Amino acid sequence: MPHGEQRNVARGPEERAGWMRQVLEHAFRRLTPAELLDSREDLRQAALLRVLEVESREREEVQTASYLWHVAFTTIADELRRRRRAHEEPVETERLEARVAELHPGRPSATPGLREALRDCLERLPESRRIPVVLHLQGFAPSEACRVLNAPGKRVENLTYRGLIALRRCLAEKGHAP
Amino acid sequence: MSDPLLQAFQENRELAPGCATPEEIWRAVAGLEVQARTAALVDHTIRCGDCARLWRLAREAQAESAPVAVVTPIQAAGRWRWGVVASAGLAVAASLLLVLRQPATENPERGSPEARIASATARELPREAFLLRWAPQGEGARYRVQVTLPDLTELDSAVDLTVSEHLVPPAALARVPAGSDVLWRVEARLLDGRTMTSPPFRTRVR
Repeated sequence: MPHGEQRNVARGPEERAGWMRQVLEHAFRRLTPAELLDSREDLRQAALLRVLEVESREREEVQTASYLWHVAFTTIADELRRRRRAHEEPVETERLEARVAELHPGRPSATPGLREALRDCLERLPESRRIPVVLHLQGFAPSEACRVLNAPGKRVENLTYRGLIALRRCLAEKGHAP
Repeated sequence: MSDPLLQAFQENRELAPGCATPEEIWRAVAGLEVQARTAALVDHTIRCGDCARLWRLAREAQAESAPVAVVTPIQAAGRWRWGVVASAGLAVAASLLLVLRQPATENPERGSPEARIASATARELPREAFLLRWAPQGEGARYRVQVTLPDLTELDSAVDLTVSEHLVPPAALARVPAGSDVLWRVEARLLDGRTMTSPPFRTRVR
Protein backbone atom coordinates (compact mmCIF):
# COMPACT_ATOMS: atom_id res chain seq x y z
CA MET A 1 0.00 0.00 0.00
CA PRO A 2 1.53 3.35 -0.91
CA HIS A 3 1.73 5.33 2.28
CA GLY A 4 2.93 8.56 0.75
CA GLU A 5 -0.58 9.35 -0.29
CA GLN A 6 -1.82 9.01 3.24
CA ARG A 7 -2.64 12.38 4.71
CA ASN A 8 -3.98 12.97 8.13
CA VAL A 9 -7.65 13.68 7.78
CA ALA A 10 -8.41 13.23 11.45
CA ARG A 11 -9.73 16.32 13.16
CA GLY A 12 -9.39 15.68 16.88
CA PRO A 13 -6.06 15.35 18.65
CA GLU A 14 -6.84 11.79 19.68
CA GLU A 15 -7.65 10.73 16.15
CA ARG A 16 -4.52 12.43 14.95
CA ALA A 17 -2.34 10.72 17.55
CA GLY A 18 -3.91 7.40 16.56
CA TRP A 19 -3.10 8.03 12.90
CA MET A 20 0.52 8.86 13.71
CA ARG A 21 0.89 5.77 15.89
CA GLN A 22 -0.55 3.61 13.14
CA VAL A 23 1.77 4.95 10.43
CA LEU A 24 4.81 4.71 12.67
CA GLU A 25 3.92 1.19 13.69
CA HIS A 26 3.78 0.12 10.09
CA ALA A 27 7.02 1.93 9.25
CA PHE A 28 8.88 0.30 12.13
CA ARG A 29 7.46 -3.08 11.27
CA ARG A 30 8.89 -2.76 7.79
CA LEU A 31 12.18 -1.06 8.53
CA THR A 32 13.47 -2.35 11.86
CA PRO A 33 16.49 -4.63 11.29
CA ALA A 34 16.74 -7.93 13.15
CA GLU A 35 19.23 -6.73 15.74
CA LEU A 36 16.88 -3.94 16.84
CA LEU A 37 13.70 -6.01 17.04
CA ASP A 38 13.91 -6.24 20.82
CA SER A 39 13.63 -2.47 21.11
CA ARG A 40 11.23 -1.76 18.28
CA GLU A 41 8.52 -0.43 20.56
CA ASP A 42 10.96 1.90 22.32
CA LEU A 43 12.18 3.19 18.98
CA ARG A 44 8.63 3.83 17.84
CA GLN A 45 7.98 5.84 20.98
CA ALA A 46 11.22 7.76 20.45
CA ALA A 47 10.15 8.55 16.90
CA LEU A 48 6.77 9.76 18.07
CA LEU A 49 8.48 12.05 20.55
CA ARG A 50 10.69 13.45 17.81
CA VAL A 51 7.63 14.25 15.75
CA LEU A 52 5.93 15.97 18.66
CA GLU A 53 9.08 17.99 19.35
CA VAL A 54 9.23 19.17 15.75
CA GLU A 55 5.55 20.09 15.82
CA SER A 56 6.04 22.02 19.02
CA ARG A 57 9.10 23.84 17.70
CA GLU A 58 7.63 24.62 14.30
CA ARG A 59 4.09 25.19 15.56
CA GLU A 60 2.81 23.19 12.66
CA GLU A 61 1.20 19.77 12.57
CA VAL A 62 2.72 16.94 10.61
CA GLN A 63 0.18 16.04 7.95
CA THR A 64 1.81 13.39 5.86
CA ALA A 65 2.81 9.77 6.28
CA SER A 66 6.03 10.23 4.32
CA TYR A 67 7.35 12.58 6.96
CA LEU A 68 6.67 9.94 9.62
CA TRP A 69 8.58 7.36 7.57
CA HIS A 70 11.44 9.81 7.34
CA VAL A 71 11.49 10.11 11.14
CA ALA A 72 11.31 6.33 11.49
CA PHE A 73 14.35 5.99 9.24
CA THR A 74 16.45 8.55 11.14
CA THR A 75 15.48 7.03 14.48
CA ILE A 76 16.56 3.55 13.35
CA ALA A 77 19.73 4.88 11.72
CA ASP A 78 20.72 6.77 14.86
CA GLU A 79 20.15 3.68 17.00
CA LEU A 80 22.17 1.45 14.66
CA ARG A 81 25.05 3.88 14.85
CA ARG A 82 24.73 4.33 18.57
CA ARG A 83 24.95 0.58 19.12
CA ARG A 84 27.83 0.29 16.74
CA ARG A 85 29.74 3.00 18.60
CA ALA A 86 28.90 1.49 21.97
CA HIS A 87 30.08 -1.97 20.98
CA GLU A 88 33.18 -0.58 19.29
CA GLU A 89 33.11 -3.41 16.79
CA PRO A 90 36.61 -4.38 15.80
CA VAL A 91 37.69 -3.70 12.26
CA GLU A 92 38.52 -7.39 12.04
CA THR A 93 34.96 -8.16 11.07
CA GLU A 94 36.17 -10.15 8.11
CA ARG A 95 38.07 -12.51 10.40
CA LEU A 96 35.03 -12.86 12.62
CA GLU A 97 32.83 -13.66 9.67
CA ALA A 98 35.32 -16.20 8.43
CA ARG A 99 35.13 -17.86 11.84
CA VAL A 100 31.32 -17.86 11.70
CA ALA A 101 31.48 -19.42 8.24
CA GLU A 102 33.82 -22.05 9.61
CA LEU A 103 31.42 -22.86 12.43
CA HIS A 104 28.38 -22.77 10.18
CA PRO A 105 29.56 -24.11 6.84
CA GLY A 106 26.02 -24.26 5.48
CA ARG A 107 25.69 -20.49 5.61
CA PRO A 108 25.86 -19.09 2.10
CA SER A 109 28.38 -16.32 1.63
CA ALA A 110 30.15 -14.59 -1.17
CA THR A 111 33.17 -16.22 -2.76
CA PRO A 112 36.29 -15.63 -0.64
CA GLY A 113 38.20 -12.63 -1.86
CA LEU A 114 35.38 -11.46 -4.08
CA ARG A 115 34.51 -8.54 -1.82
CA GLU A 116 38.01 -7.11 -1.89
CA ALA A 117 38.27 -7.64 -5.63
CA LEU A 118 34.89 -6.02 -6.10
CA ARG A 119 35.93 -2.99 -4.09
CA ASP A 120 39.15 -2.64 -6.01
CA CYS A 121 37.43 -2.98 -9.38
CA LEU A 122 34.71 -0.52 -8.41
CA GLU A 123 37.28 2.06 -7.45
CA ARG A 124 38.94 1.68 -10.84
CA LEU A 125 35.78 2.52 -12.74
CA PRO A 126 35.40 6.10 -13.93
CA GLU A 127 33.07 8.05 -11.65
CA SER A 128 30.39 8.45 -14.29
CA ARG A 129 29.97 4.65 -14.37
CA ARG A 130 30.97 3.84 -10.82
CA ILE A 131 28.16 5.76 -9.12
CA PRO A 132 25.28 4.16 -11.09
CA VAL A 133 26.90 0.73 -10.68
CA VAL A 134 27.20 1.13 -6.92
CA LEU A 135 23.55 2.16 -6.73
CA HIS A 136 22.67 -0.94 -8.75
CA LEU A 137 24.65 -3.11 -6.33
CA GLN A 138 22.77 -1.44 -3.50
CA GLY A 139 19.55 -2.67 -5.04
CA PHE A 140 18.34 0.61 -6.49
CA ALA A 141 15.98 0.19 -9.43
CA PRO A 142 16.86 2.24 -12.54
CA SER A 143 14.09 4.74 -11.79
CA GLU A 144 15.37 5.16 -8.24
CA ALA A 145 18.95 5.68 -9.45
CA CYS A 146 17.70 8.35 -11.85
CA ARG A 147 16.05 10.15 -8.97
CA VAL A 148 19.17 9.97 -6.81
CA LEU A 149 21.38 11.25 -9.61
CA ASN A 150 18.92 13.74 -11.07
CA ALA A 151 19.81 12.29 -14.43
CA PRO A 152 17.91 11.04 -17.48
CA GLY A 153 16.89 7.39 -17.37
CA LYS A 154 18.52 6.18 -20.57
CA ARG A 155 21.81 7.77 -19.62
CA VAL A 156 21.84 6.10 -16.22
CA GLU A 157 20.87 2.74 -17.69
CA ASN A 158 23.65 2.93 -20.28
CA LEU A 159 26.26 3.91 -17.72
CA THR A 160 25.14 1.12 -15.41
CA TYR A 161 25.23 -1.43 -18.21
CA ARG A 162 28.66 -0.38 -19.43
CA GLY A 163 29.94 -0.11 -15.89
CA LEU A 164 28.82 -3.63 -15.07
CA ILE A 165 30.55 -5.00 -18.17
CA ALA A 166 33.78 -3.27 -17.15
CA LEU A 167 33.35 -4.46 -13.59
CA ARG A 168 32.89 -8.09 -14.57
CA ARG A 169 35.86 -7.86 -16.91
CA CYS A 170 38.02 -6.51 -14.11
CA LEU A 171 36.81 -9.23 -11.74
CA ALA A 172 37.51 -11.92 -14.33
CA GLU A 173 41.08 -10.64 -14.63
CA LYS A 174 41.38 -11.12 -10.88
CA GLY A 175 40.12 -14.66 -11.10
CA HIS A 176 36.50 -14.03 -10.22
CA ALA A 177 33.78 -14.71 -12.71
CA PRO A 178 30.52 -14.06 -10.87
CA MET B 1 19.52 -11.66 -3.79
CA SER B 2 20.85 -14.26 -6.18
CA ASP B 3 23.48 -12.11 -7.90
CA PRO B 4 26.82 -12.86 -6.18
CA LEU B 5 27.99 -9.33 -6.95
CA LEU B 6 25.07 -7.81 -5.05
CA GLN B 7 25.61 -10.29 -2.26
CA ALA B 8 29.32 -9.53 -2.02
CA PHE B 9 28.65 -5.81 -1.96
CA GLN B 10 25.84 -5.94 0.56
CA GLU B 11 27.62 -8.31 2.93
CA ASN B 12 30.27 -5.73 3.71
CA ARG B 13 30.14 -4.81 7.41
CA GLU B 14 33.29 -2.75 7.59
CA LEU B 15 33.37 0.83 8.72
CA ALA B 16 35.09 3.72 7.04
CA PRO B 17 35.74 7.16 8.50
CA GLY B 18 33.78 10.21 7.36
CA CYS B 19 30.22 8.91 7.48
CA ALA B 20 27.37 11.23 6.52
CA THR B 21 24.47 11.89 8.85
CA PRO B 22 21.30 9.83 8.32
CA GLU B 23 19.58 13.06 7.30
CA GLU B 24 22.11 13.65 4.56
CA ILE B 25 21.78 10.08 3.33
CA TRP B 26 18.00 10.48 3.28
CA ARG B 27 18.31 13.62 1.20
CA ALA B 28 20.74 12.02 -1.23
CA VAL B 29 18.48 9.02 -1.72
CA ALA B 30 15.60 11.42 -2.36
CA GLY B 31 17.67 13.19 -5.02
CA LEU B 32 17.83 16.40 -3.03
CA GLU B 33 21.59 16.65 -2.57
CA VAL B 34 23.92 18.37 -5.01
CA GLN B 35 25.41 15.89 -7.41
CA ALA B 36 29.02 16.16 -6.30
CA ARG B 37 27.99 15.42 -2.73
CA THR B 38 25.77 12.54 -3.82
CA ALA B 39 28.68 11.04 -5.75
CA ALA B 40 30.93 11.36 -2.69
CA LEU B 41 28.32 9.71 -0.47
CA VAL B 42 27.79 6.85 -2.91
CA ASP B 43 31.56 6.37 -3.22
CA HIS B 44 31.81 6.18 0.54
CA THR B 45 29.47 3.17 0.57
CA ILE B 46 32.03 1.13 -1.38
CA ARG B 47 34.18 0.99 1.75
CA CYS B 48 31.61 1.62 4.48
CA GLY B 49 29.12 -1.17 4.99
CA ASP B 50 27.44 0.86 7.69
CA CYS B 51 26.50 3.70 5.39
CA ALA B 52 25.67 1.30 2.57
CA ARG B 53 23.14 -0.28 4.85
CA LEU B 54 21.58 3.09 5.66
CA TRP B 55 21.31 3.83 1.95
CA ARG B 56 19.35 0.61 1.47
CA LEU B 57 17.19 1.39 4.47
CA ALA B 58 16.44 4.91 3.21
CA ARG B 59 15.65 3.53 -0.24
CA GLU B 60 13.21 1.07 1.25
CA ALA B 61 11.57 3.71 3.45
CA GLN B 62 11.15 6.11 0.57
CA ALA B 63 9.84 3.42 -1.75
CA GLU B 64 7.29 2.47 0.89
CA SER B 65 6.33 5.94 1.96
CA ALA B 66 6.03 7.88 -1.27
CA PRO B 67 4.27 7.26 -4.53
CA VAL B 68 6.53 7.57 -7.55
CA ALA B 69 6.70 11.31 -7.97
CA VAL B 70 7.71 13.32 -10.99
CA VAL B 71 11.29 14.31 -10.33
CA THR B 72 12.08 17.94 -11.00
CA PRO B 73 15.85 17.87 -10.78
CA ILE B 74 17.80 20.96 -9.99
CA GLN B 75 21.14 20.84 -11.72
CA ALA B 76 23.78 21.26 -9.10
CA ALA B 77 26.66 23.65 -9.05
CA GLY B 78 28.99 20.73 -8.52
CA ARG B 79 30.60 18.89 -11.41
CA TRP B 80 29.07 15.70 -12.67
CA ARG B 81 30.96 14.05 -15.43
CA TRP B 82 28.13 12.92 -17.62
CA GLY B 83 30.26 14.12 -20.46
CA VAL B 84 27.46 15.29 -22.68
CA VAL B 85 26.57 18.89 -21.99
CA ALA B 86 23.48 18.55 -24.11
CA SER B 87 21.93 15.95 -21.86
CA ALA B 88 22.47 18.20 -18.83
CA GLY B 89 20.79 21.02 -20.71
CA LEU B 90 17.91 18.76 -21.59
CA ALA B 91 17.53 17.74 -17.96
CA VAL B 92 17.40 21.38 -16.91
CA ALA B 93 14.91 22.08 -19.64
CA ALA B 94 12.78 19.13 -18.66
CA SER B 95 12.78 20.11 -15.02
CA LEU B 96 11.76 23.69 -15.65
CA LEU B 97 9.18 22.69 -18.21
CA LEU B 98 7.68 20.33 -15.68
CA VAL B 99 7.46 23.15 -13.19
CA LEU B 100 5.95 25.48 -15.77
CA ARG B 101 3.39 22.99 -16.99
CA GLN B 102 2.37 21.20 -13.86
CA PRO B 103 0.91 22.22 -10.57
CA ALA B 104 3.17 21.60 -7.62
CA THR B 105 3.32 18.00 -6.56
CA GLU B 106 1.49 16.87 -3.46
CA ASN B 107 4.59 15.05 -2.28
CA PRO B 108 5.08 16.58 1.16
CA GLU B 109 8.84 16.41 1.00
CA ARG B 110 8.79 18.65 -2.00
CA GLY B 111 6.28 21.20 -0.88
CA SER B 112 2.69 21.86 -1.66
CA PRO B 113 0.90 24.42 -3.79
CA GLU B 114 -0.13 26.50 -0.82
CA ALA B 115 3.37 26.47 0.62
CA ARG B 116 5.14 28.01 -2.34
CA ILE B 117 7.94 30.52 -2.01
CA ALA B 118 7.16 34.07 -3.12
CA SER B 119 9.57 36.33 -4.97
CA ALA B 120 10.60 39.63 -3.36
CA THR B 121 12.55 40.78 -6.40
CA ALA B 122 11.78 43.74 -8.66
CA ARG B 123 10.57 42.98 -12.18
CA GLU B 124 13.78 44.48 -13.58
CA LEU B 125 17.31 44.70 -12.16
CA PRO B 126 20.63 46.18 -13.29
CA ARG B 127 23.09 43.47 -14.31
CA GLU B 128 25.74 44.87 -11.95
CA ALA B 129 23.43 44.38 -9.00
CA PHE B 130 21.27 41.44 -9.99
CA LEU B 131 20.17 40.57 -6.49
CA LEU B 132 17.44 37.93 -6.36
CA ARG B 133 15.33 37.94 -3.23
CA TRP B 134 12.50 35.77 -1.97
CA ALA B 135 10.36 35.38 1.11
CA PRO B 136 12.34 33.76 3.94
CA GLN B 137 11.09 30.33 4.98
CA GLY B 138 11.88 30.39 8.67
CA GLU B 139 14.92 30.13 10.84
CA GLY B 140 17.47 27.57 9.79
CA ALA B 141 16.16 27.20 6.23
CA ARG B 142 18.75 26.54 3.49
CA TYR B 143 18.21 27.56 -0.10
CA ARG B 144 19.25 26.46 -3.51
CA VAL B 145 18.84 28.79 -6.50
CA GLN B 146 18.99 28.10 -10.19
CA VAL B 147 19.11 30.83 -12.84
CA THR B 148 18.59 30.12 -16.54
CA LEU B 149 17.88 31.82 -19.85
CA PRO B 150 14.37 31.48 -21.26
CA ASP B 151 15.75 28.72 -23.52
CA LEU B 152 16.69 27.04 -20.24
CA THR B 153 20.46 27.34 -20.61
CA GLU B 154 21.87 27.49 -17.11
CA LEU B 155 23.51 30.80 -16.18
CA ASP B 156 24.19 30.50 -12.50
CA SER B 157 23.31 28.44 -9.46
CA ALA B 158 24.00 28.46 -5.76
CA VAL B 159 23.47 25.93 -3.02
CA ASP B 160 23.27 25.88 0.74
CA LEU B 161 22.44 29.56 1.09
CA THR B 162 21.47 30.62 4.58
CA VAL B 163 19.92 33.93 3.54
CA SER B 164 16.94 34.43 1.26
CA GLU B 165 18.83 36.25 -1.46
CA HIS B 166 21.46 35.59 -4.08
CA LEU B 167 23.57 38.00 -6.11
CA VAL B 168 24.03 36.75 -9.65
CA PRO B 169 27.58 37.67 -10.72
CA PRO B 170 27.66 40.15 -13.64
CA ALA B 171 29.91 37.72 -15.53
CA ALA B 172 27.10 35.16 -15.52
CA LEU B 173 24.87 37.71 -17.23
CA ALA B 174 27.48 38.87 -19.74
CA ARG B 175 25.79 37.20 -22.71
CA VAL B 176 22.28 38.27 -21.75
CA PRO B 177 21.17 41.25 -23.87
CA ALA B 178 19.71 44.23 -22.01
CA GLY B 179 15.94 44.01 -21.85
CA SER B 180 15.96 40.18 -21.83
CA ASP B 181 14.39 38.05 -19.16
CA VAL B 182 16.05 35.37 -17.09
CA LEU B 183 14.20 32.63 -15.23
CA TRP B 184 15.05 31.58 -11.71
CA ARG B 185 13.66 29.42 -9.02
CA VAL B 186 14.40 28.54 -5.43
CA GLU B 187 14.25 25.37 -3.41
CA ALA B 188 14.12 25.73 0.38
CA ARG B 189 15.08 23.00 2.80
CA LEU B 190 13.45 23.57 6.17
CA LEU B 191 14.80 22.59 9.54
CA ASP B 192 12.41 19.66 9.83
CA GLY B 193 13.65 18.20 6.56
CA ARG B 194 10.76 19.31 4.39
CA THR B 195 11.54 20.92 1.07
CA MET B 196 9.61 23.61 -0.79
CA THR B 197 10.09 24.67 -4.36
CA SER B 198 9.15 28.02 -5.85
CA PRO B 199 7.51 28.46 -9.22
CA PRO B 200 9.90 29.88 -11.83
CA PHE B 201 10.23 33.67 -11.64
CA ARG B 202 11.08 36.06 -14.47
CA THR B 203 13.36 39.05 -13.98
CA ARG B 204 14.50 41.42 -16.71
CA VAL B 205 18.16 42.37 -17.09
CA ARG B 206 18.69 46.09 -17.47
